[in-house]
Amino acid sequence: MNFYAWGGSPQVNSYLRWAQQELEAEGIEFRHNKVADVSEVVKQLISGHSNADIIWINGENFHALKDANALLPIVDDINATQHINPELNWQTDFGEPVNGLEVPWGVGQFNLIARPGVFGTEAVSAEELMRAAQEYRGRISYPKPPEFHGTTFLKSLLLSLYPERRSVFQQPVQSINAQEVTQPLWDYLDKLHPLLWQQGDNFPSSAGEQVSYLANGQLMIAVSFNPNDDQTLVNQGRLPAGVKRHTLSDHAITNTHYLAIPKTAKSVEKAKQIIEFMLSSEAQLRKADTNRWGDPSVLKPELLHTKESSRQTELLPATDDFHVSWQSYLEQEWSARYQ
Amino acid sequence: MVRALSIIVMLALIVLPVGSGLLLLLLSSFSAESGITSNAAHFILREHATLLSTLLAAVLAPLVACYLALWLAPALLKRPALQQLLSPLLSVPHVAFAAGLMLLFSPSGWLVRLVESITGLLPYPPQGWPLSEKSVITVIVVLIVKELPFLLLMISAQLKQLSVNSWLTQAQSYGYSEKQAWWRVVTPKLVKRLTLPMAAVIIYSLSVVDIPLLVGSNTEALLAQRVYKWTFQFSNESQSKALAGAWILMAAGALLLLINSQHAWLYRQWMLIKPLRKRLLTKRRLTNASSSDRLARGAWLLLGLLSFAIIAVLILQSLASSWFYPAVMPESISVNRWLAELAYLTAPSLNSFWLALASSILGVICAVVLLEAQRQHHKKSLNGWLLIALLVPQVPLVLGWQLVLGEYLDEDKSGSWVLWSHTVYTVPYAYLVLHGAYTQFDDKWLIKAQSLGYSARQAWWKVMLPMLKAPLTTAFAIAFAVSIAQYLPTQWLGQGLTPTLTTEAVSVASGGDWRIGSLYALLQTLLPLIVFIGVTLLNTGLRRTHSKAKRYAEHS
Repeated sequence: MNFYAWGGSPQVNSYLRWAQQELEAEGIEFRHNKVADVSEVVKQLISGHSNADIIWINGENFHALKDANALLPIVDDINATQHINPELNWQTDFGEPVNGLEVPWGVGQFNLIARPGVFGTEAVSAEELMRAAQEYRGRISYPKPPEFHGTTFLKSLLLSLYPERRSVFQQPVQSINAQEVTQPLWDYLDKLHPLLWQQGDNFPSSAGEQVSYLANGQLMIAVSFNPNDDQTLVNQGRLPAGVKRHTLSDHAITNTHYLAIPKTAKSVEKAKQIIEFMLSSEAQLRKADTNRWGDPSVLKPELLHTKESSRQTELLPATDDFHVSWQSYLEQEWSARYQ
Repeated sequence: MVRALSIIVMLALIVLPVGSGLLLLLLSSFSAESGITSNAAHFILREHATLLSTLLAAVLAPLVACYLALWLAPALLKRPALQQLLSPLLSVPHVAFAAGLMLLFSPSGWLVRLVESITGLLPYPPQGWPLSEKSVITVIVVLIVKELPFLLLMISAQLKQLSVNSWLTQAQSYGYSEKQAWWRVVTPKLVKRLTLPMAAVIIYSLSVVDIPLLVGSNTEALLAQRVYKWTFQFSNESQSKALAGAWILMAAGALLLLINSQHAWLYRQWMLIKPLRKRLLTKRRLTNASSSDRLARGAWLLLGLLSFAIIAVLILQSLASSWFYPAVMPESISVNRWLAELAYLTAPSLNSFWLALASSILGVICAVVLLEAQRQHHKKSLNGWLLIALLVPQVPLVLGWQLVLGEYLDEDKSGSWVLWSHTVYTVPYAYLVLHGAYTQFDDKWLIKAQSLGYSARQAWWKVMLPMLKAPLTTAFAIAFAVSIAQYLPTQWLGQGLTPTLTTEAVSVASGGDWRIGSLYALLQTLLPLIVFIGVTLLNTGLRRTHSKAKRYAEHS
């Protein structure tokens, strides 16, 4: 069975190696085909040919596959979906209705990881970020949109600039006066960019790259979609001990990442069996262990009460991701101004 | 027979792959939703910064590399063993090389850390450092250093074909200095013979994606890099831009290749410019010549040091538990990472090895077939069409292959198709390494052999091939390295059944953890390194016996 997934994290890869052994015991031959970016597989599914049986996706990749009608509706056939935490808002993926085409696998929460003392508060407001950028000139940055960490950085800034009007971002861009709503963000960025790393002429290309810049002293902050990364990255020796986790604005933009089965999969039954395993409490607990991958579970908390759960962490205060139309709007507007 | 074979090679390895790639490009260009729009084309043509950096990288890097190589080459005449220094540089894959260079010379690299540890002046990495993590300058520097050894190897192959020493002696008897003789007599010949290798280098600089993704600017990104990015964004607008960009890239490539074909003529014109001629023709004081020699010697030394430093820093990084700024050495060294990966390395290593071995042997054989067909028709010219596969962006090319192969691409056959796709890339490189030696081969040896009673075929097998052993083995080594570096064709046609060290390395490095990235980069380097060292040892050995035989022949 071919599972196509991003191969850029040694911890994710180790976890999948464990899953491979466990599944072998169930009589399933499971192979993690590593890719540099899962959009390579999406491209193949849309305009080529792929032997993927399961893929790990969310956001724009899901959107593209849904538009291309390339995914099987599977949610109703997966028993484990009954155990999913009802608090979790997984029925929409970046504002796009899931329609049973993908099964939640883990939770992402947008957070900042900073050297100690950079920010005075746990929740970093736009003003606080500006202050830090003035204090640490050339040592603050964020991934370049359309990389989704970068786009989420912009969304978090919007939340911080509009604390009282959060519901506006749940509506389609076309239905509101988006230009008026986003103008304060562009004014803010015009002031912020000259204070950033390389005066905002360049940005880190990915969250992973930015973590390296934090490790080697280039930057004082990194961004992550894993709320446990402040611990896991220290455990792995990628970041120095003592880094602090913060939210940008007072809530963390929270979304889900999913497993999906393409219509061209050769053995749908086996693929479903694999997804059942990935949602078992054993597999979910191990995934959430901060000494390993540290990716939060999607299951009901009461299913995770074991001795291992001491290594689970509480989630950050959450807020829903924006309506899907904001994604490309913000990316285009940003590119038009700063690229 | 040769003619039939060469037609088969042309069809299977050039016409089919390039044709299907272009077919897909054409089909998608005219698609209703996401085809090319004039908007997309205009958008790209208005991106002046992108176009400028793209042309700068594609013109400057090859030119600087070419003239640096020409300046460094005379040392190869005196000391052929210097070629050994090129092996490590030729074997390190591009991305690993760029990463190693950054580990050494970036603002937070080893050099700055050393200065900080001695002076304590740089608690944070300096800002405004010339070799920054993201700039077109960094891309150009990486390209130059990476293309230099390849061009030196090409020059060295040509030097063996020309009677350079006697020209130099003759020129000096007319009162030229050695240096003047080199630039005025030898170089015009070399530049002419470098046309095709330069074409490959130019195409590479124009279409390279992975290096700019790692160290290039991302707000004024190079065109190839932007096309690659657009390809994987699925809005109709991005898809149109990707298509328009692909055609613009190909047009730019064609234009640059046209200019490149006039390189030798331009060089001659430039040499004839009066003030320059005056400067070069006036008898230089000896001190000048020797200081320039010393400089060239220093540059060779630097090149050797650099290749070892890059490999050393990759080794350290792969063993490091953690290594934060400003530490000069990692916090602790352990083989755990290697031990943990060991169990998973067998399959990718073997896949890499067999694919590279088979596709480079095939590539060399096909190149010989093409060249022999040319020789029999007394065509000495370079066939630039053979490089066309290098000019088409890889994404549409490989998607086109999938489109054409369709049904044939099932899981049992994917290994063979991956091998075929690697051969598509090994043939042009093998061809251009062999071209000079093969077409300039002196027929008198064959005539002599036939006068001694050999048939034409026997003469070819027993005289010509053994005499071409050096370029043949060099072509094999280059082709081997080319196969090792393939990511996209391996990933897409192999469908996960043929993971290689490169597919693993590229996907692992995408997360930015260079400790594990370095481990894979080293493994990627190891196989071609063994091949290059083997080939250079073989060739220096060959040359010794060859020159002994030559001396013997002259004296008898």
